[in-house]
Amino acid sequence: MILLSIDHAFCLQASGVDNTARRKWDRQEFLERARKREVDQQARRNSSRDDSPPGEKKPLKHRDFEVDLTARLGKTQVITQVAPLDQQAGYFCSVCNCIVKDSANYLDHINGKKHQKALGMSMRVERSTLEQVQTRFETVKRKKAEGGLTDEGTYEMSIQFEMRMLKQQREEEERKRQRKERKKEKKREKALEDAGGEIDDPEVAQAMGFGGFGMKK
Amino acid sequence: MANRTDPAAKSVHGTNPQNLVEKILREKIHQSSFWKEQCFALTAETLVDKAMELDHIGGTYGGNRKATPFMCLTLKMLQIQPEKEIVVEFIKNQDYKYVRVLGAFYLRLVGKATDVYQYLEPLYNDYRKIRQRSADGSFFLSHVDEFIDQLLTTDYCCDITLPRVPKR
Repeated sequence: MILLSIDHAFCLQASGVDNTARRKWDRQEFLERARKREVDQQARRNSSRDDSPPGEKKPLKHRDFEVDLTARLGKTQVITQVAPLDQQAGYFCSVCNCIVKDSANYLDHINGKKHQKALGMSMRVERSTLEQVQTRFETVKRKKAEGGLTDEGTYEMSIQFEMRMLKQQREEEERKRQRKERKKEKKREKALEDAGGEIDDPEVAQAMGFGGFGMKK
Repeated sequence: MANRTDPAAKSVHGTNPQNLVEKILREKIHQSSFWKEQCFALTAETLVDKAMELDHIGGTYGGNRKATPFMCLTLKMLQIQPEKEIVVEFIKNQDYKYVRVLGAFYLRLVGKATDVYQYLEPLYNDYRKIRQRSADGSFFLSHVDEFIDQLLTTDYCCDITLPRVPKR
């Protein structure tokens, strides 16, 4: 073939002089970089596989708190491409450091395997026994009864009522005091004004507009 | 997996207990927000709490066939498959009528014919009123004994086909 690659043609030259304008790369440096990158990837892969052994995972636990889906509803926010994930649009999961665009998918994610594994819980639910169920009925019934009109309940409520009354009284007094203060202030200011800007002749004062009350026409 | 039946659960009427609810309805329930938010990782105990908060029964309603919380809790019970004593405890509970109705419904779906008749017939004496949601979304008044009658005599209730029990 007549068409030789430039390199090949170059090799055919006897002198071995580099008179091309092509860009060259430092092979050593890039070899180093490649090796380092491989080591990092291995480390990352190993660390991600390093979750707690299956025996230690706690059984699946019910969420005690309410998942708040409407916190950022209706809010306007400026986002950029380089903003950290928790400021991007959508629901942010801090455990897995990811955003999910949709409330339904967010709930699926929270209930999903990866997330629960990250929290240290296996996907199995523990089974309840009869006694647990019975005691649960009892406790909830008692709690509901207490929330109503038991002796302790009413005592609590009367205490709270007293406290609220006291607070209101204190607030009233505060308000009255502040009003008085303001009135005094105004009077003082008025006195100063009158004293400062007063011209002896009341007529001249009137002509110039420094009248008392009811002087303005 | 949140939607899988408990691996230790026995099969019911020859099938996975969750299959007693038909596929479309099951999918609807799995996609509903009540299921995802409230019914995650429930055990029989925590299910007690949720059952006490029920205030109406019903199947699906609305143009979208939205599932009621009652349906979600029934599917949850099918998923975790509590023991018979726990279900009987639900039925024996006098204070909360919706807990009772939930237990009765579940027993009708999974129980043997003798159990069904043995535990549900006493509930004929319960004359309390319950709220039921009809398919168009509005509520109507019903009674516990009416509902039990429907369970024991008809084939279809709350959008679920009931397994066959022999006639009394």
